[in-house]
Amino acid sequence: MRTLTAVALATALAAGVLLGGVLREDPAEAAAPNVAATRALQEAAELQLQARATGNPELYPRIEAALRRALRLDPESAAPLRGLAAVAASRHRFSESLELAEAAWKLEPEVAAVYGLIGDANLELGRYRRAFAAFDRLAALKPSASSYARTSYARELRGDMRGAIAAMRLAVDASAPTGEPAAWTRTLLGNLLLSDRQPLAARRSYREALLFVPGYPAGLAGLGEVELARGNIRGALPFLRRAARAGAAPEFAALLGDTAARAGLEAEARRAWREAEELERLFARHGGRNLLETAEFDLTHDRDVRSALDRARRGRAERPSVEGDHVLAWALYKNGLCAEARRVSLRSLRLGTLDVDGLYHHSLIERCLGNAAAAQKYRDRVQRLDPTYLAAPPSAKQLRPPTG
Amino acid sequence: MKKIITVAVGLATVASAALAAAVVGPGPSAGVASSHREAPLIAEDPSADNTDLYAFRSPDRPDSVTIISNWIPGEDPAAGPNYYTFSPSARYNIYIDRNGDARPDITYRFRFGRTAGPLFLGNTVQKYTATRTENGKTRVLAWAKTPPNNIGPRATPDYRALAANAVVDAKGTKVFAGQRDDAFFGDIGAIFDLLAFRKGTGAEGGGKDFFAGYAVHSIALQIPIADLKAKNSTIGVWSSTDRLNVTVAGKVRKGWSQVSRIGNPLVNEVVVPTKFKDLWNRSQPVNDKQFAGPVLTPILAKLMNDLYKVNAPETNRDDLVAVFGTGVQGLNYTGPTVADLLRLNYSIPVTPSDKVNRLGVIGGDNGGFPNGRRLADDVVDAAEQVMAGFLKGNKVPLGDGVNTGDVPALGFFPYQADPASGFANTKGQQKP
Repeated sequence: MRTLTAVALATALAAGVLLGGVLREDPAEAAAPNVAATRALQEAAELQLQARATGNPELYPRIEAALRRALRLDPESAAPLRGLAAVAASRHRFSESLELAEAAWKLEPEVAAVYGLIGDANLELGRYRRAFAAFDRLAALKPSASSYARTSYARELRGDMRGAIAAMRLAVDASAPTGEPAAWTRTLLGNLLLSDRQPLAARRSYREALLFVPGYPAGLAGLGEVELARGNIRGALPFLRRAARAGAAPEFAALLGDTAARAGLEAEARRAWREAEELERLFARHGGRNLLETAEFDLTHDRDVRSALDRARRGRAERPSVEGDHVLAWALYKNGLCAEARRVSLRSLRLGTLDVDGLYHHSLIERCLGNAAAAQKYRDRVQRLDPTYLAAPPSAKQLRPPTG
Repeated sequence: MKKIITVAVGLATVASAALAAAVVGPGPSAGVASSHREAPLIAEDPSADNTDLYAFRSPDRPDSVTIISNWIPGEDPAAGPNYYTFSPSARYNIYIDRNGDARPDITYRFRFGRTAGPLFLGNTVQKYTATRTENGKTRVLAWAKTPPNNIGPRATPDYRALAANAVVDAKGTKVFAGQRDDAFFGDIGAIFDLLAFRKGTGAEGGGKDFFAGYAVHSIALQIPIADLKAKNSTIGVWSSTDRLNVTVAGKVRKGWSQVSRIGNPLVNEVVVPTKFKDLWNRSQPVNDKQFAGPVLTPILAKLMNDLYKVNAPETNRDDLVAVFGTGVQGLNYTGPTVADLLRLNYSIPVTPSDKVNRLGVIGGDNGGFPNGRRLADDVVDAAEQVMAGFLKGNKVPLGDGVNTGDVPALGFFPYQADPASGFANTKGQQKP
């Protein structure tokens, strides 16, 4: 599900760049009477950079504390509120993020970046009309790499891959041609190209990203995915190992585990999965919300499906997006609750996203309900979108018998 | 966690430790001034970021006016393989107002093509199209190419010749676009440390030039005065960058939005409050009256008094409105419309080189800032002294201790010096 990785990165950029951005003050204000507030903001910015560089969620509480201190010292400033909104989004606490972003908007409605935060939170809360309106407002006020990347992601969600790729090319042009911004936009472009079945163009984009930031984990993971898309499982492993080693992101460890398992390397797979779970636990311990993530992980690996269903229900309640619907539908299916699964799954497909996992899961749900024609229709769509997918699909096993 | 909603952890988790250096890194990626750091998000779009604007009567061709607009703050020529270029999806503008209404009467516009190959091989030559619009009529001024960035004696030998060959003559107007040495100079490190002075009140040297060795991307025009035809021989100049509009539901569609602009130096940094910087960058000079409040009661004057008791007037700063907003009576006044334009009265003769004063008008030299701006004008010192109340009789010899750029300008178009080469790596340390 490339889409979801893209979200990951899109919102991430948003949060990271934004926080860095809002905290950069000019000389007049850096030395303004409220120097202490500015210092607290700078401290938060530095910690945020560290968090971006290391992926260490232990930093979030410290960033939050610095921002709260800045807010106490200068309650009229929207910058700490925007920072707090970004941190809340980083921890997947989107209701909280939205509340903070709206408070920042009330104080400083002329700052374009706040529309990005408002849009991101609404998007994850499933309020797509509001989210897209906020992205359009952001782009109208200030076309930039972060507005183009968000527009691209919104288009991708709507199934408009050509439009998504066009907008991401603009993001590449509008990002600094150095370091992380260059690598980041090129990696996102690679992801879109790969989803659009242009693996060679995707590979070029990932390689460019890696020239800007050698060892860039998302770029390495992308090269691994290109190999997987070409059916070269063994060839994918070296890239995925480096991605998992370099970055502290659970998704790279999980992908390595899954790929190692496909290659018959059971011990390596188990190690990587354990690493992924440990990273998720660390994220949760420091205020991150990841019920949907851990539920999907367990469902994909056919374990703890009852508890996964419970987590999926709770996770979707806090994050009622198409992704929330998708994970819940999959959990319902795995637990044999196919009728409810179908209702929720249809919701997850309501934007027209070309998401092979979602479409494949829906075909299984239709089959479970005895709707052979519908099941075949969705299967055919999967086949058209990704001819390699059905060669190694996720496990269709239901751990509890269908109950209707 | 394969395929999961990893949303915002994203960059937080995908970046390696090595990346931290790239993000935080030394050098002016964290640059400032004159317009080197501004609205929060423009920092992520350096190729659209206007840094400085100059306008002066050409010393070697006094029947013409030279306008130079710079973009991309803090290019380190030695930072290969990360080479900067103009953005192929942006639009670069230079506007001239000739009648004081703060609306463009002549528009020069540049669009750049993609480089022929990957940037990291140093292939930085870009084709471009320059157009000139006057009275609603647009014509192509030039189809031309930038020189490559100055990589080093092997990749870009005889750089002077490469740059000279990139100057084109378009029916009397000279045009150049490409990498140049950043002519701006200033002690940013000290300014940011609560306006610290390294020596005395800052007017006795001793500063550290933050911009030494860094490059920018530049568009330069040399326009015959006969083509300007301005009221009272005074033009108002500003420069901006536009990016393409998009919407979620639409394809990449027609239409542009301005994302950056510059007229006078340091206005964006010193005068416009942070929360209005986005608004500032997207608005047009004709609407600048909305920003007059912070100019009349500048936060910086209060700050200077708090820190150094320089007795700067804190309210009713109509002198600042004149310098930045309308032009100064008897010098370059263009009328009552308040707009941040760089105003040049081109009837004032070129100051002979032995009479040039780096402080310009406040140094008794009407050929320089704020009557236009020459490359060597010390706008940091001039701005500090004007802010302290020079034009209201409070003459305090403030400054940042950096009085010239690190490289002398060329004596001819495009004036800004050739950029240092990447190989020369002027900021690096030679190891034994």
